[in-house]
Amino acid sequence: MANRLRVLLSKVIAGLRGHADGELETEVAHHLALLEERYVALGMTPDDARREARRAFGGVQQLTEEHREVRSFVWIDHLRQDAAYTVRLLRRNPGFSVVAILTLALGIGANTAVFSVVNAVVLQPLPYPDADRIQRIGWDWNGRGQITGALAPYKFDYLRRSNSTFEALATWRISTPDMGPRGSGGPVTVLHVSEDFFRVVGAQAGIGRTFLDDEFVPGRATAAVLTDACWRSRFGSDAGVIGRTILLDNRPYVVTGVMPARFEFPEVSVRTDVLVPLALRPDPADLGANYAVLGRVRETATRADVVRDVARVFAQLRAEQPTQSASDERAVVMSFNELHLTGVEQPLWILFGAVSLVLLMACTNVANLVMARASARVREMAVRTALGASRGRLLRQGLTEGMVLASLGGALGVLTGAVVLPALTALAPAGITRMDQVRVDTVVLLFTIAVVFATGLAFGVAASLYGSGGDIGRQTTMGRQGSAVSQFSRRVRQWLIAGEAAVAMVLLAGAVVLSFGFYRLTQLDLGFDPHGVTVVNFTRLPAGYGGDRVRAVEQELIRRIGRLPGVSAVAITSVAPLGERGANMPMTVDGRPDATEGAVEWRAVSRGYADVMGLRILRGRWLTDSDVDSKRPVIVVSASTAARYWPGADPIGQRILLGVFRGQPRPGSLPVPSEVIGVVDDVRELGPVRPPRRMVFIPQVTTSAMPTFLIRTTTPLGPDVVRGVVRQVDPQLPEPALSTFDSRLGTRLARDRFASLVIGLFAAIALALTAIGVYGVVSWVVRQSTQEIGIRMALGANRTRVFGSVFVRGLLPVIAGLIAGGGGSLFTTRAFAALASVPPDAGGWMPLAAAIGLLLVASLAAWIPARRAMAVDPVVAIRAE
Amino acid sequence: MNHTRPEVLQGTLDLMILKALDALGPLHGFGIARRLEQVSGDVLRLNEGTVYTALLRLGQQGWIASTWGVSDRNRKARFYSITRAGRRQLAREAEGWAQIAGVVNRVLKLAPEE
Repeated sequence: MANRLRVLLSKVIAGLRGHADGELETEVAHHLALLEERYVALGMTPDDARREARRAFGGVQQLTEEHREVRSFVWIDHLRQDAAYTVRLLRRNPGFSVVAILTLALGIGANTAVFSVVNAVVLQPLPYPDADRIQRIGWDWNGRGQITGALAPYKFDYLRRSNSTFEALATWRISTPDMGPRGSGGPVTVLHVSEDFFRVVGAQAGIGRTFLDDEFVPGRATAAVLTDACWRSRFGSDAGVIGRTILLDNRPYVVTGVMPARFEFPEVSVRTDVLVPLALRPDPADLGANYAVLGRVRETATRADVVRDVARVFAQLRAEQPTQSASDERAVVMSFNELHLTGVEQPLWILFGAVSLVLLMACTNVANLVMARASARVREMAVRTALGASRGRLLRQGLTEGMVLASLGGALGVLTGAVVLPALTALAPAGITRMDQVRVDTVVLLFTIAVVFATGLAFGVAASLYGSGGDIGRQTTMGRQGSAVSQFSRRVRQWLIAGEAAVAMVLLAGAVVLSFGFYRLTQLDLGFDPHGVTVVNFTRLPAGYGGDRVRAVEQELIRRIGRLPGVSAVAITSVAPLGERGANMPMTVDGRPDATEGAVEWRAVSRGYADVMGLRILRGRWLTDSDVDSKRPVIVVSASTAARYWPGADPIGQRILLGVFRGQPRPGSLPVPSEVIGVVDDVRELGPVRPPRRMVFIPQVTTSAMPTFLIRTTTPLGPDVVRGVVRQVDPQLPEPALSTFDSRLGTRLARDRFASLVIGLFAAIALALTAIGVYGVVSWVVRQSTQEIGIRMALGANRTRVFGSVFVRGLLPVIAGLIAGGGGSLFTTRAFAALASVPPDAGGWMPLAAAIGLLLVASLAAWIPARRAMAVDPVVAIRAE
Repeated sequence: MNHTRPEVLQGTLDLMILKALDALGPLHGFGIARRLEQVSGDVLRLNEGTVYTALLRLGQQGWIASTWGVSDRNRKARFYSITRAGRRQLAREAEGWAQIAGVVNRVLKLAPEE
């Protein structure tokens, strides 16, 4: 069996190598010469010896043929000849070859890159057995059927005990302690997992074991499992790590196992290093809804069963313990897969659709080129037919040409794709699961090969359509422009141009809508000035840092930073603006239990906050230092908060109970009502893509956590300057994380920038391809009809009229395509708009602008060769043929 | 003596070439043809050209290897040599051949007694 394969392989290799006939010839000649010598030595005359040698050897021709058959497969031989012929043709026509191959490389490369992303993010199944049986359970706060809230520990425990459709339920949380003695190993990401976590995700330790039941007892959770990545990078892949003690924030944990490399937990966007048991206390008083819940559904249960079961469990809980549940709590169950692809899958498919359009255009353009050349070769083909080449062989030749072109383009395209890919993933907005795993792998290569075959087939057929049509008599005797094939070719090529223009129009309209939408986002009034502010954040404080010390450091930092040159205002806030999330709590208007909501955004800020942000104060006044110092319970509300609770009335002097929902205090509620002292204009504090939330601002209260510092500067502040001040104030403070409003705004807009950039790029490529296509066809038409133009001019035609007719004929297919594409863009624009985080409005002028842009570019492309038609010299043209 | 010379079976020719290369070391096609002539006397006759087809087939199987060199008459020639896989094949074939020959011999000897 192995030998048969070996024979097959050697035949294929021999077929691809070719030129073996010559070797055999040398051997045969050598043999015959030696035979002759031998016969001469035996006394024959040279003539007899030669004859006798040939007789003893047998038929040379027969042997050569027999050899060919044994050596290889005839079809491979033919294929090689065709390929060699094609390569010769391509070399003879370098301009055509380079343009065709580059065009294809562009199309295939872009396709490969986008498909790599689709493949890694959407197509590859999650690395869990029966991943479709894993479900997420949470609260649906905004009524859109999506999980927006997590469970409190007591409810998680209740669900675990009372459900009848789950095999196992688990929850987790994340912490980032420092590893090693006194944290010398730096921060690591620790995933705290509840019992049954490994059962839910269906994972087991690669080395050692995961956790035992008694390791989940509160206070005894001291076992740890390392991820493969952590084990490799921090423990040098040492299997002896099992049983060793590691320190996390100076607490000892014993390593019991190492997870296999394929284990990942995409729920957590950062790389996990260590897993430890999560000992959950189901205390009914703990209302902190902080636990996301994951469950593995029983094999026998359907999704409907699960939804019903979960609803039943929480209804039962509400009946048993009414104080546990808010009335607007609505449980929702989502499949794990679905959750990860929400908001990602659709945009990716849209992108893929767009990039496929680009490839389609690249193909159209190359088909156009191939046809232009094929029609120039009509006579060559006719001659070959006359000389006995079978139609099948000519078709095969055409296909081989197509395949060679497509393969060269494809090879270059894969390279392009591999180069473009890192740029694409770097540009992509953060938070897409498994974006880090995007690469050109086997699946991607197979896809590209399929694309190459499809495109090769398309050109091959296009090219052969000409050669094998028509008969020798007509094609060898007729001039170029009179040929029927040429007429047919002209029509087909004009259709292709129309198609190109339509596709370009669709992409261009999408790009205009997206770019304009992005521009509007950047110009949006956020209610504050999102430029020129540095954000200083302390993620962790040294142990033993109490409230007093924080207060002292805070004041000193504000004082010193405020004195730095170029600094115009300094403030502190509980939440850095333009971040991923804010902070909210319930509120009730004092004395009106129904004037309440579950989540108003609140910020505890210092006096300088309004100056740093550039807030607009609409009524009353802003917080003063004395508000903070005297701990007076005052509050500033945003315009929409005021409008909701005191429509048409003066909010100043009204009182708000923060942390109270429907009259019931929740954890973290303020003990006394706060008096409204001012109203500020609405602030889109989470960035332009989020609608403005109702907000309240209270005087900053000192806690044991270091607040975020905001520094407004007139001249940019070097990071070293800020770090230097921090070191001066307290050398024990860790280095703060520095960012600017501009960089944070960039992150918030990443998705929209990405969408408009990528679709814009595709549209630009489409535009360029259309221009090349139009240019190619018009100049070809001019070349083909040089004689006709000459005759018309000789008969007295006006040069401008000649120019006009060529120009208009060149543009007609573009206009047809524009109309078709314009109609199509009515549907596709909405799809492209879905790529943005807030679908931008498609104003009526946008497709019009796209159409005008496309028409201008196409006009330029047609104008240049049409000028050439004007310059035709009638005498030269008529004599030419 | 019988005047019809037996045709050389493909397998037999392959076996004989392998044996020749095993016994004499690297040879060119002409040398192989001479060796076959020498061992078979006048009993087996073949078109010497068929040796080259056999060599090609053996090469594809990986049983022989070839290199281009210069013959003792200072001409460019291709030298064939047996590979390790070829030796194994030769041993297998020789054994099979001996078995069949033994059986055939026995059958032929038994025939008169019937």
